[in-house]
Amino acid sequence: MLRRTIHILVTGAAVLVACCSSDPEGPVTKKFLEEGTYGVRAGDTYRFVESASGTTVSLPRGVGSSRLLALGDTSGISFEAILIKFDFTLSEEDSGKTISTAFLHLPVRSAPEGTVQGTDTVPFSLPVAFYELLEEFSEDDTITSVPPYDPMPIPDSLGTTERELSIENTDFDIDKSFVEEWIEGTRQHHGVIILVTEEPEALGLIEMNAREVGSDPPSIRVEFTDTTTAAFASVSDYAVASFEGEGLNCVGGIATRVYFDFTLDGLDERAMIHRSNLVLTVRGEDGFGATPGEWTILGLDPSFNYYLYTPQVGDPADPGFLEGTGVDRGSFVAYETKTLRIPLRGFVRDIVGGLRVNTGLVFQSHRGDLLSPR
Amino acid sequence: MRRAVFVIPVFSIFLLSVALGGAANGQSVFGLNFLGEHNFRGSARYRSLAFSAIAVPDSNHAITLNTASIADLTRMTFSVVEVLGMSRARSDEDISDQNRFHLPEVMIAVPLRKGLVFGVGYRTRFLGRADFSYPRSVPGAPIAYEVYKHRSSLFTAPIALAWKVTEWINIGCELQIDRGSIRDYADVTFNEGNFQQVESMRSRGFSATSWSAAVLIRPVGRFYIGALWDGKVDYDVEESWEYSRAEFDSTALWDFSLPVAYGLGFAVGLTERWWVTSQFWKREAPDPTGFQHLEGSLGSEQLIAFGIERRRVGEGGFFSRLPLRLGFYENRWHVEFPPGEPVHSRFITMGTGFQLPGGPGRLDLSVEVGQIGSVDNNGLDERMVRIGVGLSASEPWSRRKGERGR
Repeated sequence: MLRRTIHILVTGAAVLVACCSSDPEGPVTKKFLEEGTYGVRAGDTYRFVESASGTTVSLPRGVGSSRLLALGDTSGISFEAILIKFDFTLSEEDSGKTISTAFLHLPVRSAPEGTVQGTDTVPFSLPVAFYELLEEFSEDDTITSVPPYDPMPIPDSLGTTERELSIENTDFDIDKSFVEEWIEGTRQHHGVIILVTEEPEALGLIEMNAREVGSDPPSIRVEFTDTTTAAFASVSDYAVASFEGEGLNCVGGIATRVYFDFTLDGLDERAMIHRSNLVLTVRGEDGFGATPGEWTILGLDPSFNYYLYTPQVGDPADPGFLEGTGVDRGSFVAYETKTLRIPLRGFVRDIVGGLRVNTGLVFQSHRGDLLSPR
Repeated sequence: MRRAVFVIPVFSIFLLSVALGGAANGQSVFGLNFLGEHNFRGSARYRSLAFSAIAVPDSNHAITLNTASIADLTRMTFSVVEVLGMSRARSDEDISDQNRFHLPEVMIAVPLRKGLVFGVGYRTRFLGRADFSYPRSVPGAPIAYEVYKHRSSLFTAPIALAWKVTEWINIGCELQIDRGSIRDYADVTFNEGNFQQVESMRSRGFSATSWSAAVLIRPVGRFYIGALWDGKVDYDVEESWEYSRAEFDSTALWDFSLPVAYGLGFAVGLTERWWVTSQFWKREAPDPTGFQHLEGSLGSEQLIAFGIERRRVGEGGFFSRLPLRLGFYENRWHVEFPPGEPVHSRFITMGTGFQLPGGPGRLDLSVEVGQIGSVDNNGLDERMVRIGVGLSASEPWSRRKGERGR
């Protein structure tokens, strides 16, 4: 009897031990925190917002190796001119031949939809004219404005200088004497510049192959009197673009960086940071990811790749401004309105902790291998 | 062998309790404040007598209320007591069910010669443990959670000596090596990615040495008087604060004193089997050094306890041979919540015990049913059941016959 009783008690106690579980003490013990008898209490948790003033800093940046050349205007970006230099080296078998006709071939790949007029669709076109450049250019240059050119346009065989560039109109008759002299070397060939001569009725870009595409480049094609032909391809081409207005961009020969200057004086010096973000609003109506050609023909990702760093020096005029410590990088879709919350990781924590001097933050394009305007 | 059949499973429970005790030291939710909940000493026999048996001689247990009581041990005795508490804490709006294990109290007593007993052991003075969190609304941000973790344990390792001076007086004293710590963690976290948890921790290490003395007197017949003096404990406290921002980490050294406590009680044997016991125990209010937030909220602690015991006899039926114990105690805590409003524990206790088959040794059980605090006076209460299991195993402390003369 005694042994059985002890066994029952021992087993019961073991079962009791095994079955134990507890609720959190939380709700009940709240009174101890509120009355202050517990003696330990987490400090306030709050959101601290500090406005940052943004300053756009423009920096030269070459984009000469783009695989498409664009002309026209879109979303505040103006592709003002296309520069093309041709190689007029004549083959031995064509040597001594006489040119009967010459054409400038512009391999247009992309253009806006045309307008419907009655039963016909009139393609989108840009009035252009061709001029001779007065100075050499290089794709490695950073060309931010239209370079000097001879104001007398290159005419066609009839003396006409006004042309209509469209996806259907890509070969333009040019005065063969220009080509002959370029081939013979009696006329300096620094390149040809294509300019839009009138403000078009509608915004849009016409895009054509650059030599980097590898096939069907811009070229000057000639037909000799013996009916044979020759083509002189582009050896250097460049689209001169500019961006109007403030903001972050990397267009043509200019890339901007936005410098955010702010103080954290309003932050409690004992604050411990859970998370900090640079909060930006992307205005989709003003954004531009890639040209239609880059998007549809080259298949480039239209995302805007950004890079955020804290500069060594907070003075944009100081070379140290261009270097610093990376904080974050990522991408966003520039043509979609959205609030970006870019994580600042340990940046604010380090500043508050006195481990880093607050030199602000610089937001810039981070194109990687992508060579496209944004 | 027969004895091992019983000792092994009971000892297994003890070991399991030790293992779980480390993970789930238990106490009332009121133990979140100050040093924690005061843990009165005593095996399951003394718990079932509501800690009233300060004036009881004991020839079976090494864990007693009165150090002088162990002078009556004639064998080497190992005693352990483990307590499981199950409670429901309530406030006006909330309820929380709790199951907790106390860290076991152990004592081993060795008779050096007849009437002179040496003992050493471990017992927890104060303990507290809690894990809780609250949501905090942060405008413009996800919900934050304040996560608290509290771990406190002040314990003592008593080194005891008890002497049976005459047939009517026992005296005892203890050198108490007091150690322990109180750790509080307060973290703020978000259940969303990209948010870092902010952490802070306050750790207080307590270290002291103190003395206690006790006497057990039998003036006449079955009337005993017991008294205990538990000396002032002057703790050296090493405090450190650690934060997510390490530059704010700090340390401090300060002193904290636990005032003298004393207990006085009697035991009267109405008959050979029926005994009535009582104790009054008190410790004055400690100075709130190191607990400034409790300024004005610390009062004296006291215990008033009564018990009645029907002792076992070696003959008769099964139930006749079982001891029966009943008691009641009221304990007023040091901490007052809210300030000026004492927190009272009121418990009815009961229990019994068994002689371990195969030799000297006892298995005692206690059940305590009661309430700590009150919703009306303290804003919350805790209804609690505590189950105590005590084991005492004894062996004669003498040389074997074959060893004599070597």
